[in-house]
Amino acid sequence: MTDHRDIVEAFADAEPVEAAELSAALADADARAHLLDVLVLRGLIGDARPMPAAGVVAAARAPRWGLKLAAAAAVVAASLTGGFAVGRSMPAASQARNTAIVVSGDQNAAPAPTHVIRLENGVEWNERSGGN
Amino acid sequence: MADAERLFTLHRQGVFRYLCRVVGRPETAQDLTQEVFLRVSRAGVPDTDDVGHRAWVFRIARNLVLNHVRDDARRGQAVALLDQAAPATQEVALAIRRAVDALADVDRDVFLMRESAGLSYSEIAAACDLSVEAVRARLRRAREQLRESLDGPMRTGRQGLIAIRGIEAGES
Repeated sequence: MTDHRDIVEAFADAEPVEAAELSAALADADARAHLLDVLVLRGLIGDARPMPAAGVVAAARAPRWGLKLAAAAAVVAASLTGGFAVGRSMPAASQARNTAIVVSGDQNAAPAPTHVIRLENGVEWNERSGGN
Repeated sequence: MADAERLFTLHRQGVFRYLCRVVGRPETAQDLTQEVFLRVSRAGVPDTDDVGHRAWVFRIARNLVLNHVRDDARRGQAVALLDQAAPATQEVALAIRRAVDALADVDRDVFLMRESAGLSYSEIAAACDLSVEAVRARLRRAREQLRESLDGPMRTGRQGLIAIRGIEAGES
């Protein structure tokens, strides 16, 4: 294998090459250009297509994700439905709560006194320093 | 059976890529890939090393796809289809498809086993009943033919590589 193009192709293909031969080949402008072409061609041919195995895996996983989504949707639906049903089944409690709010309006009245001061005639009620 | 499963795990992607490039249709390539490994499991894995196993699997794949592409109707259908891999554009993909199809059968198999499946020269030689030197020669011939057929995309690709090198040189 003496052709410089063969050497750079082998190098590009990960085949074993002698270091000295590769060094000599890479010193050759024509061989370098050929190496560039090999890499460009590889880039053009490069296959980014999804693998069948990946498709199989994706297909196998799809039902699991579907189940998870369905389960989540069921939980949300059950929560909404249950909340609605509970709300519908407790109208009296709701009204009672409203009534209680109206009744609680009495609490705005002054609280009952805890200590009564009786005013007596002839007593000076003005406070003075010294306690007299 | 365990050996056949191991070979399936190791080589299914390479076999699919190779078959996909040859037939041009992913669906057909999937079917052929399944058929390859069905034959692998039925035939019984030969007692050899990893290189020998890989070459054996690709020999089966090659024989299978050769029978497939000899069907003129299917062959015409495959050529008419656009390649969905779309390396750059549909036009480029179609040009690549046509250029690869224009290669001699053995040259095309050697080239695709190397570029799409990543086989070594010795593995390709074993799969195609060639010597390593013959593989090297056919690979080089295929590349030169493709380079001429794909002159426009190759020029664009070269400019891209040079531009990237220019950017890297400017950064350093």
